[in-house]
Amino acid sequence: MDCTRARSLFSEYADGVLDKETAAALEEHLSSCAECRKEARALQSLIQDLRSLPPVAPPTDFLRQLHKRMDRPSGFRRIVEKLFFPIKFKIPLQLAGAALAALLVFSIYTFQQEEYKIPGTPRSVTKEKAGEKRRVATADKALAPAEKPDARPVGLGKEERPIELTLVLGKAAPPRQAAAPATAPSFEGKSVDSVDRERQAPRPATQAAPSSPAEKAEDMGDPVRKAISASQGRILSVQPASILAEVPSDKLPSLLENLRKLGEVHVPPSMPSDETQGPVQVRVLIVAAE
Amino acid sequence: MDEGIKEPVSRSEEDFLLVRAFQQGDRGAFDRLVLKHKDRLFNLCYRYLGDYEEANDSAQDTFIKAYAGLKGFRFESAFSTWLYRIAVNTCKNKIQSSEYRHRHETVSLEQTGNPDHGRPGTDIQNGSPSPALHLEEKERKTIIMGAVDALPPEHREMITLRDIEGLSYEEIVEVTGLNPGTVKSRLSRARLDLASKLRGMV
Repeated sequence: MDCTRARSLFSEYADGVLDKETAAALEEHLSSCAECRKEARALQSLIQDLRSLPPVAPPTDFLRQLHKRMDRPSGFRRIVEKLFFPIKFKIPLQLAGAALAALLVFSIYTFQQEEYKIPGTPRSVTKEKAGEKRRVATADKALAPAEKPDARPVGLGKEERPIELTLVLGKAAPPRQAAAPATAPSFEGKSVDSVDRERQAPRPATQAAPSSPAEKAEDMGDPVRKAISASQGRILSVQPASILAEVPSDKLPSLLENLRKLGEVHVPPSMPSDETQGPVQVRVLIVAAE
Repeated sequence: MDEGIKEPVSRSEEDFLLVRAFQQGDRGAFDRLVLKHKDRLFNLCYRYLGDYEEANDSAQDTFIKAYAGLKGFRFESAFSTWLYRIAVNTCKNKIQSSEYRHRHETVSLEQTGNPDHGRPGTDIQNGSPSPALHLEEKERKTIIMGAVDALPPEHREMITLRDIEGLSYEEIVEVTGLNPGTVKSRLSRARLDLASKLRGMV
């Protein structure tokens, strides 16, 4: 047995757990190696020293401290208590909760308002302009049933259409109460066919005749624009037989009044209510009377 | 050359009766178990951690964990071995905690030549006949403890469990979860390491 092997066995030898054969071989080495014998004795002495180290006593109130800790609320309850107690933390947290709830309600309310907003934002105007060409292209042919004035109340619904006002030129404006079908047939009172006839009236062969219905309609563009401007309206687009404009909702009666000075005005069955806020879009269809 | 210090049978039987009593609803039985084991358990934690307050904290944590698990204790090992296993794991977790490491590093820097700094237990009288001898003995043990503290944790664990607390090899295997061969070789290396550190000092 060499010294390295002998040293690796000192520990088990000191504890008396080596088997007899290995212990005998180690003892034989120790009897002939003074250095290893010295180290083995030193190790045994060290082990004795370690075993005689004085114990360190716990605090005298160890059990009381333990009871105190064991009586503490559970981890979850401790967190809750830390969050809500003492009372000075309770109120701000409740206020914060209330503020959060209020913010949530406000956000939902704002979102809904946005959903039912009256058209007039730049985005809807752009959208309207994109759809304008398609509508005007068909306007000269006929008023298809789908393009009839929408019966939905203005101000409700996502896809708002402009209020379509039909200005029939060459007819004296009827008295206000004459809007009743009995005295002056409204737009709705007319059949689609009759409107078609009006709009599809053949143009005269010679364009020179200034008094033809189509030319009359084009000529009336300026007075209509003036009427719109007089009602603080803003022209969005001008087509040969129609003008799309945006007017403040409260100026709508004024616009109708101005248009009635130019001819007979047919209004859709539902108009914005008095409570409607903000601008509304109006399309004035100019129809020349025969 | 002993074969490990084992608890006398009567002590184990006493533990058995107390644990049974606790499991049958006698809360006072747990207090008696605490009073019976607190000194050895505290000493183990103290030797493991080298800090009185940390040792107190870990010893109490150990008893709290034991209280929580005692209802399910099935006597597959001795109560004291089970308690030691909880204590060793608690101390290991404590050593690995960043808070402990930070504090320990700070204290090490503050210590200037007195490795027994903050060890109230070493003031316990050992009954030496003369003040000079007492001083010499005290100084020697202080140096030994300083050297133990300077060991790597796995070596300190072996020295603490075997040489300071007197656990048998089998008990160390149970407490640490290591296999017997590892316990023997690690203990051997730890002792040689400690002896080399102390060479010429004591």
